Amino acid sequence: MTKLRGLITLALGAIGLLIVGLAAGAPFMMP
Amino acid sequence: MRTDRSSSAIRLLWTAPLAFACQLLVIHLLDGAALRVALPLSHLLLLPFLLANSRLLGVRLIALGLALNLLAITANGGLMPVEQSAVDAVGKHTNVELTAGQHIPGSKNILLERDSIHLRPLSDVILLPVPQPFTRAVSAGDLAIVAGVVAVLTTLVLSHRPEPHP
Repeated sequence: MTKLRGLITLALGAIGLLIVGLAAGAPFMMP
Repeated sequence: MRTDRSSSAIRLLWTAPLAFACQLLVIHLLDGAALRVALPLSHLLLLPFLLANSRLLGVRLIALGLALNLLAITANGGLMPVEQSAVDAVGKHTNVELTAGQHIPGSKNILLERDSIHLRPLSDVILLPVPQPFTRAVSAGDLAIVAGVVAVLTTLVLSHRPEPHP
């Protein structure tokens, strides 16, 4: 359960960081 | 969002979707002077995130990239300049008649002639050598931002590796 929680946290963090890249202006990170 | 391992915890990450949503609204709903004022300001919504996580090298790289992009944007009246040759290479607006000085719809860019671009090296002058439809014109700031995102992601992944048993 702890491992699953860690993976979910990691996935959310990765998505959030990609959005940081978009918001900071990197257009090629746009799908 | 905040991870459990305090040394690599990322704080205020929830502000990023907020900032991005505001930018999308600004780009798609505003034009003219309002767009040119609101677009640079919308980038500043990332400041709380950047300040709260400035201990991470990757976040400093993102801040550097954002600052370089903002320099180019403010030096050119509130939008990121791009040249016709780059627009042609990207190929997303082949059906649209664009004139110099015009905001390119759905983007942060303004089409300018090469000689009228201020701080040209910081504008979207770098063409990624990939085939269409993936070709993109990017700036030096964009590359710093991507490097920063990769660095922070690496930190995040490493911090979630199972700790070795003694």
